[in-house]
This record gives sequence, C-alpha cells and structure tokens, in this order.
Amino acid sequence: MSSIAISANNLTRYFGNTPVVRQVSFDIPTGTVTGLLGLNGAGKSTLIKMLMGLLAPTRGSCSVLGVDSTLLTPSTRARIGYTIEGHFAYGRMTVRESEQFQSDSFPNWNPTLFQNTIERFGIRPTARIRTLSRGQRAGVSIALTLSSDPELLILDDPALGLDPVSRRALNETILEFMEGGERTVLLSSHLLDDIERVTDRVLVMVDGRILVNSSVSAFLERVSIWTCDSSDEPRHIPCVPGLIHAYRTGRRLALVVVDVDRESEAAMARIGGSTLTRSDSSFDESVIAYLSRSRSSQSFLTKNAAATATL
Amino acid sequence: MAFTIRIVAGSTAPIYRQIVDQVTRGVASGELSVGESVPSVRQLARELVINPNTVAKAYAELVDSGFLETQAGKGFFVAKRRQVYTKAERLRRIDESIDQLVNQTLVLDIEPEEIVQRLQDRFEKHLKPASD
Amino acid sequence: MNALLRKEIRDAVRWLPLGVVLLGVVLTYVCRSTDAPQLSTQLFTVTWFSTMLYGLFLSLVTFLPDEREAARAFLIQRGVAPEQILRTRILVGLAVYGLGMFIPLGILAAYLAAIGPEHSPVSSWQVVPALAAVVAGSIFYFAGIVISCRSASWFGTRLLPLAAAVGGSFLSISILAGASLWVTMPFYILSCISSLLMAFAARHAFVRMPSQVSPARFISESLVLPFILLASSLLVVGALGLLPINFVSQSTYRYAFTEFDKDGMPIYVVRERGVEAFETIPMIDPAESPPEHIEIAEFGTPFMLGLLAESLNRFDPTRLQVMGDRQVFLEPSGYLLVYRMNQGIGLRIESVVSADGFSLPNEPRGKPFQKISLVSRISFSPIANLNFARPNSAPQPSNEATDWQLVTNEGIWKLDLEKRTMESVLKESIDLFAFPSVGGDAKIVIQSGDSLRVYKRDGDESSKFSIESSFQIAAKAGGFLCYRDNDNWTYIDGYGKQEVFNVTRTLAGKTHEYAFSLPAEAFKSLGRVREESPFIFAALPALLTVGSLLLLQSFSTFNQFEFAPLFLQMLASIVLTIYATHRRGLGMRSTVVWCLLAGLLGLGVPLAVIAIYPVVVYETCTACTKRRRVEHANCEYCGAEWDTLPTEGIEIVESETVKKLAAVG
Repeated sequence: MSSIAISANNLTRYFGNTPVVRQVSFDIPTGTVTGLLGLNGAGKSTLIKMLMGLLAPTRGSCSVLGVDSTLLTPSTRARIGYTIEGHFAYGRMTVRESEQFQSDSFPNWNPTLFQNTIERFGIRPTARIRTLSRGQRAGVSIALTLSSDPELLILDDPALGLDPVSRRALNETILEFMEGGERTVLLSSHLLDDIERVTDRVLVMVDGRILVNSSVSAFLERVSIWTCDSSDEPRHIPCVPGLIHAYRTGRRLALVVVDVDRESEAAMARIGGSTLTRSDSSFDESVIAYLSRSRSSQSFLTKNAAATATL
Repeated sequence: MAFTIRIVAGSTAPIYRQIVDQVTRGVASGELSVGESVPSVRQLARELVINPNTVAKAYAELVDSGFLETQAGKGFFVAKRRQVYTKAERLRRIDESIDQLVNQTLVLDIEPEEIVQRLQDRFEKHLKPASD
Repeated sequence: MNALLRKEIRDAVRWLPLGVVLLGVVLTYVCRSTDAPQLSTQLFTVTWFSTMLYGLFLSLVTFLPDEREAARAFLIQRGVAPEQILRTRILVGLAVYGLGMFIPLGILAAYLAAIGPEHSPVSSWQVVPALAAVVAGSIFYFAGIVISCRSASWFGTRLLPLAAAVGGSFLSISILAGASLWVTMPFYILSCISSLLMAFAARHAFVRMPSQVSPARFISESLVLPFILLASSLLVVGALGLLPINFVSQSTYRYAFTEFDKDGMPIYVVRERGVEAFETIPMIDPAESPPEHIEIAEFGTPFMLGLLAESLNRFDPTRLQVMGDRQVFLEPSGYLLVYRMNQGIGLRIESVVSADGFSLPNEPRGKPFQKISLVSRISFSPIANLNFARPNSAPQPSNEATDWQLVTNEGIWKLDLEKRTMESVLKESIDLFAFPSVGGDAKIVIQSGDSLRVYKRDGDESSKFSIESSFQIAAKAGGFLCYRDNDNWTYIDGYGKQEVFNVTRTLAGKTHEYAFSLPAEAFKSLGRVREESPFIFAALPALLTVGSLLLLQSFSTFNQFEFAPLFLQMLASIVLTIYATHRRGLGMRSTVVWCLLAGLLGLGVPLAVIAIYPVVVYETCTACTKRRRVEHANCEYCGAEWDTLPTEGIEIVESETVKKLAAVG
C-alpha cells in the first residue's frame, strides 16, 4: 500500500474571478487522522470536492489512494468513504432502504458495523430519513459511510448538528475505525476540542491557502502567546517576526507568535517592556489566531472593543 | 487501580503532556507504585477518547525519562526509578528551579523564612523518602 | 432486483398516472370535437404537444433534484459507474414515458376500432401518426436531461437544447404527408436520429467526468452537444427572424391565372388579394408571329383539366360529398363509404362502394379504387383538395342521391345511392378530366397520357357518351383546353406561376406550337416572396437561402439590392462571432472555423459559441503584464509559470513521521 493517501499539488480553483483555493500542496500519509480547519468560506469544502473528483481544479492536481481525482473509477471510489457536508441522504427512504441502496454499491459492505453504529446513535432502522432529527440523520450518514469498510475516510463537517453525546459517539467511532488496519481519515470540522483529541495532524486553511500543515504536538510547541501592557492598536503594531495575530484583552495586548527567537523577543520587548509575559498557547487559541488572519474575519464586537479601549 | 488519568482538551498543555505530567506526579506521590501496570496505549486511548498516537507519544517520553518500562508481550509498568542524569546534572536542574523560586520571592516580596517553612511543609506532605 | 433499479422505479412510476390522465383527457377532447377527416392530424398535434410537456417534465423531475451539490456527490461517490446509474434511470424513465403516452393512445385505438367503420369512417389506423410522434417525442425526455445537467452561463443558453428538440421531433410530421414512403420515411428517420443524438448529449451532460469539463479539453470530448447547441441556436434565430413576416401587410399578395382574351390569345390575369382590380398581361411569343384572329366565343367555354383525387394522407378518410342525409367518404384503402344519418340513432354506415360495385358493410369487398373523383351532373367541381369540402357547401343538385358520376382512373360510372347501383358510363383510363367550366355536362374531356379525347353525351338524359374528337399533346399535368371542334382548338399546359407555357394551337387543321412567357418584371411582382425576402435573407442561413435558390435555378430572379440583407447578415454574423470567440478565449484556428460557419449559417453562430464554450477567466501575468488564462500552468505569451504565493512568515509545515509504538495488548 502506498504511504501517501491524499496528495495535492498546486491545487487551484477559481469561482468566477476569485480564487477560492490557491496553490494548495500537501501530502497526507496513510494511517493518520488529519484535521482540516478553516473559516466558513475558506475553501475547505471546495478542496474536499476536488479531492473527491466532484469538481475539476482550475489548475494543479490532486489524487486520492494514488489515483488522480479527476479520473476516479468506481473501483477506487468503492474504497473511499465520504460524508457529505449536511449529511445528505434520500428523504423518502427508510434507514434500512438506505443501507440496501448503499450496500449494493459497495462490495465490502459490513452490515454488523452499520447496525452497531445505528444503535450507538439511537436510530431505528425502520424510520424514514426525512422524519429523523438532524443529529440522527448525521448518524445515518456516518453509518452509511463507515460500513462500506473504506480505506480512506473523508468527513466534511460530520459533527454539525450533533448533540454532545452523539459527538462523543462520533469521536469513538472514528478512533475505532482507525484501529482496523492501514486506514486514513481526513476530517473537516469547527470543533477544535474534538480535533485536538482525535487527529494526528492538522491543516489550517486561511483564504484558500494552507498556512499550517503539521502534527498537532509540533503545532502546539511552536506557538506561544506573549502578553504585555500596551495601549497600541493591534493594527498599528510594529513588525514582529513570526507574529500570527495580535488582539487586545482589556488593558493587555496579546501577541500570538510562532517560532519565537531572540529577534522576535526583542521586538516584543520594545512594545511591552518589562510587562511582557510568555505563556503556552492552547490548541484552539493557536488555531483561532491563524483563522483570525483571514481578510473576511471581522468580529462584530471589534468596533465597540476599540472604542472602550481608548476610554 | 485507583489511579485515573484525566485530560482536558483546549488546555494550554498539549494532551500528551497532560498524560506525562499526571503519570509523573502519580509516581512521585506514590499513587502509582513501582511495578504497577498502566493501561495499554489502546486501552487508555479508548478510555480518554483520544488518538492512540498521542498516548504512544506520552508513553514514549515516559519510557525515555525512566518513569515507565515496557515488557514484551505484557504491556507498560511503572519502572523502578533509575536516575538518567548524573548527580551534577540533577543538581544543576534543581538549581534552575531554585533560581526561579528566588526570583519570585523578590518579586512577590515574601520573607525567605516563610518560603523555607512552606518548602518543608510541602516535602513532608508530598514527597516520600527518595530511593536511589 | 437491485436497490438502484428499485429506487428509480419508485421515483418515476409515481408520475405515470399524470401522463396517462394528461394525454387521456386531451385525446378525449379531440375525439369528441374533431371530424374524421382531420382526426389523425389533430391526434398527431395534441400528442406532439403532450410528449413535449410530459417528456420534459419527467426528465426534469427525476434529474434536477440530483443536480444539487450534495445530492450529486451522494450519487456519484459509490462503486457504481455514473453511466450505469444513467442507464438504469433512462430505462425506467423511457418506460414510464412510453406507457404514459401509449396507454391512452392504445385505448383510443381500441375505441376507434370499436366504433368504426359502422358509426363513423374512422379506424385505429388513424392513431399511427400519434404513435410516431410519441417515439420521436422521446427527444424531449433526453433534452430535459441535458437541460438539467448542463452548466450554463445564463438561463437562456441552458434552455437552448429545447429548440433542437422541438425541431427534431417536428420532423416526424412528415409521416402525415400524402407523399410516398420513400419521401416521408427519411424525414421520420432523421427525427429519430436527432433523438438518438440528444441521448448522447444527455449521457455526456450527466456523466461529465471532471477531466472532461476542464475548459481546455471541453470541445474535443464530445461533439454532439455542441452540434445540438448550434442547431438550436440556428433554429431560435431563424424563428425569431421570421416572426415579423406575420405582421407584414398581406394586402399585396398577387397571383396569376391563365385565361384567354377576347382575341383568343392566352393571357395572364393577375389579381391582387383583397382588391377587385386586376390587370392583364399578354404573354410574349418569341416567334413574334401574330396569331390568326379567332373569336373566343367560337370556342365555347374552356375546360380546366384537373387531377383525380387521392386520399390526402394515408390515415384519414376524405369526405367527398354530402348529399342530403348521406355522406360519402373515401377511405385511405381505396373504398367509398356511404353513411346515412338516421333519426334518433345518428350516423350509420349504409354501403361500401368498390371498383366492383356496391356491397353491404358486412359483406366482403371488391377491388379498391386507386384514384377517384365524385361530381354531380349540375355543378362541376373536380375538387383537387377534397378535404376542404364542407357539408352543405355545394349547391344542391336536383336529385341528391342519383345524379352522381364517379370518375376514377379506370372510367366513369353513374351512381345511384338509393338503388345501390353503379352503371358504367365510360370505360377507359383517365389521368385528368374536365367538364366545361361553366355549367352543363354535355361534353367531357379526358386526358390519358399524351392523348386528349372529347366526349359528347348521347342526348340530354342519356348516361352514355361517345367520342367526338381526339388529339395529341405534349403531356403535362393539367392545363387549359379551348375547344370548338377537331380543327380548332387551343391547349395551354399548366396554370399559375410558371414562367414559360407551351401552347398547342390548331386552326383549320394546321397545328402551331408556341412557347409563351410572362414578362420578367410582371413575374417578379407575383406572390409574397418578394415582400418577405428581406426577412428571409436576414434570418435564415446563407447556405440555406442561396443554396436553395441555386438548386431551384431561381438565383437570377433576384437583383443585387434584394441580396443586401443577406450580405448584412453575413457581415454581422462574422463580427459577432469574432467578438464571441474572443470573449471565450478561443485560439486563431477555432476562430477561423467559427467565422466560416458564421458566414454560411448566419446569426445563430455567435449565440452557439457563447452557449458552447465556458466563460474564461484572466489574470495579469507578473512577468510580461499581458492577460493570461488562469487554467494554464504557463503564460500563453511568455511561458512563465505562476508565482508561488508570498510566504506570510508564519507558516508551519512539518512532515513528521508518526511514531507508533508497537501497541501491545
């Protein structure tokens, strides 16, 4: 089996005149769980659609399980499980009928796994899909995806609409899935805590670019938060090497920095002087710092916060 | 085994480090006795609902620093503490911590006598006599 | 039966009752309100409309929902090829479409077989053109797939394939024409082929592997869809361009008759529609020898020879005559059916007339007629287009049932519908015949092949004729005979809008043959074509208009000013096409090909270019500052690659191999 499950090379996609995915390159090794993080509209779903061969790249290429995504054959697709954003399933069918529909299309169907997953999410097989709650439909979608026994699992926002109990069930299910053989998971989500628990690696996408492609532990170790007393506006901070994002918390100014070295410490000292303090950054703080770089991210509280800061 | 490991996602400490710290503290406080078995990588990962590689990384570091040892086919056990560092190195590390503590006493303006008293209390409460 | 098939059946079958009811209601209405002679045409028309509505509806309702992103992803991402999914769905869809359309028609056919010929001269055979329309109408089902699955830049181009579907299925109307099968069947086959082409386009639209959709390789993968879009564009532009013709004033319709002036000279009489006035145009005799002066009155009234009738199409009966409470129909199989209106019961069949005579409806029939015409003794009317005969439109003869003469290609009979007798009046082969133009039937002229024969009745009440004169002419289909006696007669071949007429003139035994022609300017002023020509030249492809003119050898009848709209159209087409190809980023070679097509095929071509090719996005090249396409890895002008995006200084890229301890236990 190849050691690379998913590969992207300068992958670019335009919608109209705007590039939504810009020169994205990465390799996802087999046997890992990778989280794909990004704001809504950062290009995550577009990226996944290109990986799944549902959308053609404008430029560049990508492949899954060694096969170019634009040339996916049914036999390769049978080895991939894909949970669609929104957990689509045919509303008129019952859960059982959906299983039959799916099992006909995937040769390695595992009915026991389907049954167990359905039970774990608390769903009756005779229920019609359109009568299910959002969370239950998500459970069905996940069960349908996993039971085809795929080598590669791509989950686009699978926890959307799930209650906390179901979310835990989902995490357990994913980890159980990974236990069996050389499998790979790509997981796109906004639930940073779950990502931190479950993934080996993380990809952070901002405005169509991949800014972070790293193991979770390395990511955490390289990012740190430095706070100091300063009345500077975050926008007007002089250049600090490695500064990911700066923001105000009350009287203090917080700087999230990557790979702090002597130079960046010195630059920060010039801003904050002796009040400068270092602390470790948690996973979600680090991720949010990257996501805040997006040109489209605007806190609706920003204006008010800035106003109170000058008082 | 009364010893439980709990992790918190979203903490400033990476998950693997939380495991390492908890095992380390457990060994130091005596909650984990030498020779006691700890859960396997898979078991702990299932229990905590986290990626087994994270547990593996934590256990690797614990083995490296001498807190755990692995016996082929049988899993992980609390290791007999063996010192990885030379005495000089150990003293150097302690001196580092002491320097930090002294700095703090200056900043916080507490009498050294009070610090010493508190130190003694801590030693009596938490640390068992160390074995070489 | 696998789950996919089951799902498709369940999704499609629930629309079956809709089709059956839709067509059923419509057919019932047509059946009640249409006369037997118009039945197959009406059935065809309403069925054609129904196939359009139902075929389109069925494919839209089963394919559109799966075009939503999530639904499409769900359907495609499985171990089953999209082609197989499509095949299953089309199989089921066509079955439902077929059943929905054929069931009502089948019921109708059974009904027609039950009520005819006893109650009405109908037969289940009249349903055949409608059945043919259903087969050809499958193109709408496939067009619906193309419309659902095709991505298009705007709403108009998305619906474009509909035009080709309308055009392609409409070709099947040829089946109604009375012409021979050799002529009608190729058009019908063409109609079916167009449906097949649309099916190919549907397959391409549905399957659309991403590798096929990337703009660079778009056109080479499938030519069928571009062809359909081009045909659609031409049809749309043509239809829109010809629309104004409806509003062009029709008062200037001029048409010509051939008649004789007081000197016995053949002349054109040109009449303008809606206007009583007319002008006469003498014919020009190139030989320029003035004919001898003969008074026209001496000839007696002219005989206008007309063809015998055949059934107008091979499905409907033709109503020949209404005589009081009887109606006579000509069945396509060649029998006369005589119906009688009975008090209280309604119309019932009374007798069947064949070449061998009368028979009762239930009895075996004799030999069928081949060509036939029914004329009364008093009022002459060899109606060439018998379908336009309406009940009570002809003046009432003295005895309704007995004074009828049946003219067939084998002779003339006298019919008595009361006594059910057929008495032979004249036995000979007849191609064309004529009674005198004004009243009376003392004489009759029969043409068969090259020979014209004039018969005279043996006495006023006799039903027998004997030959008076006979002469040879150069055979033409129909003409004018002015006859005095064997030594003095004039025959002109044809009438109407020919340019040249051949005249055979025999005076005092001496025969002279002339060719007369209508002066060119007068000829040009005839008909409607001249007023309409600017629109026709502007809207239709040059290939079509110039090509057909050349084929008909009428090219020279137009002067250069009349061609002006054509040149303007060609110019406009080429300019617009260049603009379109530029917008769509096509290369020089493609542009030249399309401009050539634009010159030949007209204003539909730039529309087709816009519809076929996807929109192109440009950015400015950083190396050479020219506009370069975003799909190409290298700049078209300087070959530069795309700049790597500037690093923001905060990227973390690590490819750390994950260490896994041998997890024991």
